[in-house]
Amino acid sequence: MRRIDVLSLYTNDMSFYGDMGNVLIVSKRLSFYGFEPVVHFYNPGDSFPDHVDMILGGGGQDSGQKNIFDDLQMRGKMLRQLSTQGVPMLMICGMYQLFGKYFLTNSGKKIPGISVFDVYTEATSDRLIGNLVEESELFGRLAGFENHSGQTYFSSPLTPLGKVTSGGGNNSKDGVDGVIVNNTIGTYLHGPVLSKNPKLADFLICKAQLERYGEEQLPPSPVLRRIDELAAKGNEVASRRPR
Amino acid sequence: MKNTSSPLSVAVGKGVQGACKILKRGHSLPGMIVEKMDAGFLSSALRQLPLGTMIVCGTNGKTTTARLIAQALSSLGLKTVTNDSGANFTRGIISSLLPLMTPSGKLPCDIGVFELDEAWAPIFCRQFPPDYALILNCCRDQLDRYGERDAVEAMLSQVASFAKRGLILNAADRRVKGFSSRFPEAKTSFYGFDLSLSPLFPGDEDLICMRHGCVSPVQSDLASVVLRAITGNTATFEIEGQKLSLEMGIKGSFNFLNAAAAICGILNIARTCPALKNSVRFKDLDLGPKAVAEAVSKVRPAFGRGEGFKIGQSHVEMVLVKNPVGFSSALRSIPLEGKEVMVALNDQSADGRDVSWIYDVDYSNLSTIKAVSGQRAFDMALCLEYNGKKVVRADLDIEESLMHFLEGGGDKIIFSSYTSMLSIRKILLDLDKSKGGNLYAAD
Repeated sequence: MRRIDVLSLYTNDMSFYGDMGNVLIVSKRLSFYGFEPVVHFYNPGDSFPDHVDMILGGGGQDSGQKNIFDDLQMRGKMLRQLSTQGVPMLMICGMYQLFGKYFLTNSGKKIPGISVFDVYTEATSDRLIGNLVEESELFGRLAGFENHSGQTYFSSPLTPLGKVTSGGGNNSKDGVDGVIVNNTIGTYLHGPVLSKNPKLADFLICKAQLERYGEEQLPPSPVLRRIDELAAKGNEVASRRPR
Repeated sequence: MKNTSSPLSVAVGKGVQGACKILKRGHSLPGMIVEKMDAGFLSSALRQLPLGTMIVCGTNGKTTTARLIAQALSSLGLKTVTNDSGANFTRGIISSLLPLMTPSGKLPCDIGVFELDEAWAPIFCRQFPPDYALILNCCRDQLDRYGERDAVEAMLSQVASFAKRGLILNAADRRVKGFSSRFPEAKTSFYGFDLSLSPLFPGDEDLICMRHGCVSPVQSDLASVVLRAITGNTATFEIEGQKLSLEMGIKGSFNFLNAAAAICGILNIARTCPALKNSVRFKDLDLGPKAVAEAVSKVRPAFGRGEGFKIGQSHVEMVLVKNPVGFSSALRSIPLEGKEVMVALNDQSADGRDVSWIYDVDYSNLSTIKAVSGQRAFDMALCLEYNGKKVVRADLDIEESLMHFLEGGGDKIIFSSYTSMLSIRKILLDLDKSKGGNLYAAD
């Protein structure tokens, strides 16, 4: 069976808003497509696996972000290289911010990120909390939930993940959420995001397969028909819930 | 110091309460109006209680624990006032005091036991520092409201600091066990569970770590009340070194831990309350470990928390679930064999607007789910399917789903978030009447 190595980045500190669900969803979908998923849980101080086909990171509390800071700085260069090579990555909320250039705190302190994305984040006192719905050119309507006080801005022209139709997104001004650079995606969507947006999950899986086995087309999976019907209904409901 | 509350405020409050009863309006409204017109009302009333006030706080188990303490204290012979309607803001507490107050503003009770919402508890404490505070746990809950769990931890820690005479803490919660009171004379007591029971009581960290085994159980050797063992509905407690096995009136091992908290809380009061020693009125009370534990063991479940209904040939149990730790503990501790399962999930603010948390629940004890319903039925069904569970039916309409679920006899269990629980409970009560059955508490 063809193996795909998935790394869950900073599981203990950065999976506070249900984002571990993305790891479950990716590994289940991989099995349904006939792959052998191998999940590596990576925490500060752990050795990094020799081979990684996909990296998933989530949101955490401020305290969690502090815990991982040093380790992330140490791994920054390698993660930038993997992103440039095209390794698919999905970074939610806190990890999205840390994949940017820096985070400007309320007291004016700049906390450096690892600059995978040319974006920066500013602390604010109004937290963007609520259902978030957006239209994405690649993935159609994306629905989830955002919960963040940091607001993120692009430093140069970049491709957002989607145009916000309801909610905040990157910040309360620009009307967009997230970013895509190479095959690395940042977003504020929890939910977990892959639950009601399976096309996004399949994008990550396609790219992982392409990187490792040189093929992009996924085999058909009858089991996924039922699951994706539920996901579509869930997406429909979520997109109509009040903010 | 005046030893009554303002008769005018009492009159207005009681008047509004009467009107609300006729109009079937909210329980909190009278309290809200009195709070607005008389900012000192809460403290003027609570100050009259000779044995003081205990507040119960934490993310999981407040309602049940406050109920265990209040009812046990009543059966032990103390006149107890409590906010048993689940209205746990300061206004809800005022509303619960009003019916008991005399027109002259007296509150003729011995002790108050109140559950308080995490965000309201510090506000309460600043108005009226409680004599006793019991802090159950600090888990991930309602993040759409609080933003972060660290914020909840800060609020709970503040509450603990206000406890004047006694502080009761969960020694098995890695955040709560470090709290302390700002009053050096306050006595801190701990409760906990035997390490052999730790799989039944997962914390947030355990749920995240479970899949790659980094769980480190928290020691509770500080505890004076320890839940040692569970056999069916019998819980064995070790209370100040003495073992006692009791048949419990409530169900579920997480409620047995709440019982340990309640026993610990009442014993703290018994040890530290000066009025208990000095007043003739209380000198014949038996507040020894055995009497206290027995009184706690006899209490029945709170509204929607492990309640049971008899519908036709079916026994239907209802369990409120609202966060990963609560849902996982319920699934680990309630026997599910032979029971048909329904899960209902709404996303109103009382349920938590963000449903992402369902992906952090450990569903390993479930197999087939006959019905999934509520506003986020599809989210729930999808999550269960990804967890390898079979979902027979998922739809948004709670009533239709429930009717389908109730078809055929047998034992049934419903896990539900808060507002869906309210709808389901109402339908079950109506059904019970129409079929001439009897509503009874789970036994």
